[in-house]
Amino acid sequence: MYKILSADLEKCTGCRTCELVCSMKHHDEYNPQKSRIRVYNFVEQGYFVPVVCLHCNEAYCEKVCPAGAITVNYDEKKGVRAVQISKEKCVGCKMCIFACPFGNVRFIEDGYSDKCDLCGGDPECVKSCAKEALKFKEVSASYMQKIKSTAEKILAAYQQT
Amino acid sequence: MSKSKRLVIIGNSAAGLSAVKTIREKGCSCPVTMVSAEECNAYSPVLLTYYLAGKIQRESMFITNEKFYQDYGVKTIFGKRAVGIDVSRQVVQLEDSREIEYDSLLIATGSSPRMPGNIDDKAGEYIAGLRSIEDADRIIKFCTTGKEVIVIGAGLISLQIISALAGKGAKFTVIDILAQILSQNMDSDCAAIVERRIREEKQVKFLLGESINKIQRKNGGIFVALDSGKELTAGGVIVGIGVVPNINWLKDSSILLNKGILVDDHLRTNFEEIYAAGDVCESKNIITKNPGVIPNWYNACEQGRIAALNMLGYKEKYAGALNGNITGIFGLIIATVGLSKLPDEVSEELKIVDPARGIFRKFIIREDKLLGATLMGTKNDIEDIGIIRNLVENSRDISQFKDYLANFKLNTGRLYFFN
Ligand SMILES: Cc1cc2nc3c(=O)[nH]c(=O)nc-3n(C[C@H](O)[C@H](O)[C@H](O)COP(=O)(O)OP(=O)(O)OC[C@H]3O[C@@H](n4cnc5c(N)ncnc54)[C@H](O)[C@@H]3O)c2cc1C
Repeated sequence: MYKILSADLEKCTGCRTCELVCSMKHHDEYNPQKSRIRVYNFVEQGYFVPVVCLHCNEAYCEKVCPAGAITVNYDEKKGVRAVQISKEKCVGCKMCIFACPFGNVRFIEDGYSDKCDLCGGDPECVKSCAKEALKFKEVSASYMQKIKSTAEKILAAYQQT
Repeated sequence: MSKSKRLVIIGNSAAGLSAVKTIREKGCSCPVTMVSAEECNAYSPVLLTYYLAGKIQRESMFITNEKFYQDYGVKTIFGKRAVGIDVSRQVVQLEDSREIEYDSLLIATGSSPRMPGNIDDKAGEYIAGLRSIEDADRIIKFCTTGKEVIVIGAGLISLQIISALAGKGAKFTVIDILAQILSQNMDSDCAAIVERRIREEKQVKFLLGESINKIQRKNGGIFVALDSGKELTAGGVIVGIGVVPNINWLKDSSILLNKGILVDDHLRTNFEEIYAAGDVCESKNIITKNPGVIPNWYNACEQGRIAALNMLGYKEKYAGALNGNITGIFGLIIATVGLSKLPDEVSEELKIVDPARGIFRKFIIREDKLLGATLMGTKNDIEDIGIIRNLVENSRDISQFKDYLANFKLNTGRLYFFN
């Protein structure tokens, strides 16, 4: 059983601290544009939705990477299973961006693809979430399935920020 | 399925490797033999233009090493070309007259650059398509002589090559038979933006609407005559006019061929135990439902996976191949999926164009289904291509958010998840 990043929509207030700490951790600046986690605002429904890589069991990005830069890494001790992009191996061909059906791989800096790596098992966003809307925890297989089907059923919508 | 089934894969690239991984991930312990014409471990052709640009070293192009084949229990026969299949005896014949027996066979021999017909034999060393590392080395050689380089075909690979080498001394003249560049990938409005962007680079000239009459060797270089009467000399010629599946060696095998190997919905050929996947096969286009060769890495991986599952006895159906691509040239990121032009009168298009910023977004819609999209911009302007690909590939009903697609304002649009 591995931990996953889960978000409680009832608790998220849309403060976007997670975006700031994420960009700081990985890109050395407080800049939501450079965050790997993104909080979307559904004005009509009154919800904020944090979105981040799901570290899929069958990761599309990993399968398609022509540079072998994406690997699934396990840390049994910490209970972490992370789909990670090696910045060194990535050539920036963006095939993973084409492959990710959830839009969770980004092109932040020139030259390589970027996405959540679970901060080595201690995600910054979770630590900074004052409302504890973001959690990094073990979940049951059925919960995992729910997340997956939610993501898949998702009502996709374009909206202005 | 009996344990001793001998699986043979011909081709050591996207499709072949994806098949190997699938076979072992499914826990199958059958003996697997992989044959490849190239001596080396697998490398990705997709990375060749990054190698040309000097962004990566030769070694970084390799996606497997000896350990990979050991770990996956693959017997390798590399540096030997397959020259035929005797379907009645179930053997693959290699160029050194060796015969490899199979119980189930996957043909994943890919494709090669298409070459113009009217080339004089002696011109060979100055002409290159781009597919292999040797091709890349040849191109680097004649692009660093300071002489003019002629590029035939204004498709994505040609433009990627030029983008990789521009600024390294060579001057390029791009010739295409059509008046529009990237005609296979996008509509003329989007192509015009790209063309304008490239013309800003002083070292690239276009000769559009021109066809090649002959190509000859001349004084340590190349002479090209166009049908219009124009004549050019150059240090070398790069050819990017599409690819042809590597099927010549199957001509006498009684496997059904058209442009590529014909396969059914399970990627099986007309022989029960022979499958084909990747650039070499003609599979069903997911949108038009017509068979065709849709050569890209993404399809090759997926086809390798599906073919392997069927070889193992899982009755897995292949949904179909999707044309699409994502690439960066001259500072623009271009992502396409599915159709780029209206297929009929009932289809409609949504289009957002901002030539000044190099932004272009176009969606082709028919009856609440997305048939295709073209996205162009920089960095995060194309980040939603994966979601859009998914909508096209799975033919999702987009009626609920069609308006959002339409009203999407430049630079602020993002896809939102909600349940
Ligand atoms: C420069 C370039 C850039 C590209 N960029 C992209 C991109 O950005 N995105 C994208 O999706 N796709 C891209 N592609 C296309 C992509 O590389 C191909 O679609 C993909 O490699 C197809 O994989 P494949 O396994 O079908 O065959 P190939 O990669 O063609 O491999 C064929 C294999 O079969 C072997 N072989 C061939 N004939 C024989 C024989 N007779 N006997 C034994 N072995 C044989 C070869 O040695 C090789 O191992 C690009 C291609 C090129 C050349």
